[in-house]
Amino acid sequence: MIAKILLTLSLFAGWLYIFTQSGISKALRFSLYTILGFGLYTVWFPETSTVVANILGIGRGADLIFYTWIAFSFGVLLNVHLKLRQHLNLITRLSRNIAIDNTITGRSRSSNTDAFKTFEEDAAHTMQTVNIKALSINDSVTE
Amino acid sequence: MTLALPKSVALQNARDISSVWIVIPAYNEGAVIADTVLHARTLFKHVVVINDGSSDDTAIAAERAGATVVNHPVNLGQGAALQTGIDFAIVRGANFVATFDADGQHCIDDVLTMFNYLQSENLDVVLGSRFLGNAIGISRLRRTVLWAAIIFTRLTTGLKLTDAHNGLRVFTSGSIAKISLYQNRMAHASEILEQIAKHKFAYAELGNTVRYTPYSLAKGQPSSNSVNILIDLFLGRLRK
Repeated sequence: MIAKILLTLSLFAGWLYIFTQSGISKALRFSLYTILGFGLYTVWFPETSTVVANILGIGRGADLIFYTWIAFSFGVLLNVHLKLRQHLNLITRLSRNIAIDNTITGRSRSSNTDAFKTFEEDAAHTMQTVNIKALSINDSVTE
Repeated sequence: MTLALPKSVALQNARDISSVWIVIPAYNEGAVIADTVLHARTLFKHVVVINDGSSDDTAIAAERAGATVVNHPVNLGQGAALQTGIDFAIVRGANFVATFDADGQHCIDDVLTMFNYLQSENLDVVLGSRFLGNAIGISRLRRTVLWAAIIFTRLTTGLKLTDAHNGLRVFTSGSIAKISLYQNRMAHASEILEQIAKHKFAYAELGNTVRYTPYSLAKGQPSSNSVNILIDLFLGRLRK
């Protein structure tokens, strides 16, 4: 009985862990809850695991629980991965904002060059572009 | 004989072209980025290079060639760099955004053709297709992997494309502002197509030239990376 209570408490802690996790999909959360629910059931009705194992062609209930535990561990691993991915997403957004802000304010210029053109230079470039390419490709009129 | 356009039409064209921003993500492309930028600037005024945490002189070379350089403090991946370039272009008032590879695979004339087509057909996005155009020096393995990507894209998005991973794309700013890339690495190409399908953008494919050089083959992603892309896409769907 003591073992059953300890296992139940452990599974409850697992439930709490899943419950407190954010940023995981409904499908993953549902899968983890299902596995936990099945685990709790087999703690109190261990013979059921053998019946289910036989139905699934595994043979022994202990083996079924072992495989289920592997699946649960994989789910937790996946969740940890998604957490890390969330952090990477935060770093990405932070880096992006810093990069754009630095460029707009001119703090990130790599060297003293003439990269930032004056309005007149821009206008000249634009008209040159039109003369060279745009007219002949898109809107030219022939006679 | 070619005649000059009326001044009003020429000015309109000039305004349109000058509102196109060429977005070039670059990571350790110091050897070629200057040529790529100079090539792009023969037609387009606004060229932004996103230096994705390079350890070489990519940023300096790009800036000297006339590009605006946005420097990621750390390396984040091509997808992340692309999104940064898109955000920057929109902030700076772009009306059109073209994505362009840094390694010299693409031809800037194709961007102009795609841009003109985008406008004439009133589309949201025009995608480049090397298989409608030219894929110079492509290997049989790469062709096979890209063919598999086309099938995958058709199954997952419903888009009937002839090239699913072409880095050359031209968007209107209204459409690209709706694109939000979660995939930092190479899976962003599939993610863009997913979002084109999701937002029901009016799209078309045009043939473009992709030139595989020894440099681009050495720098580009190996075909085996397609497995990583599939894993990234799968894991991306598990998030909330």
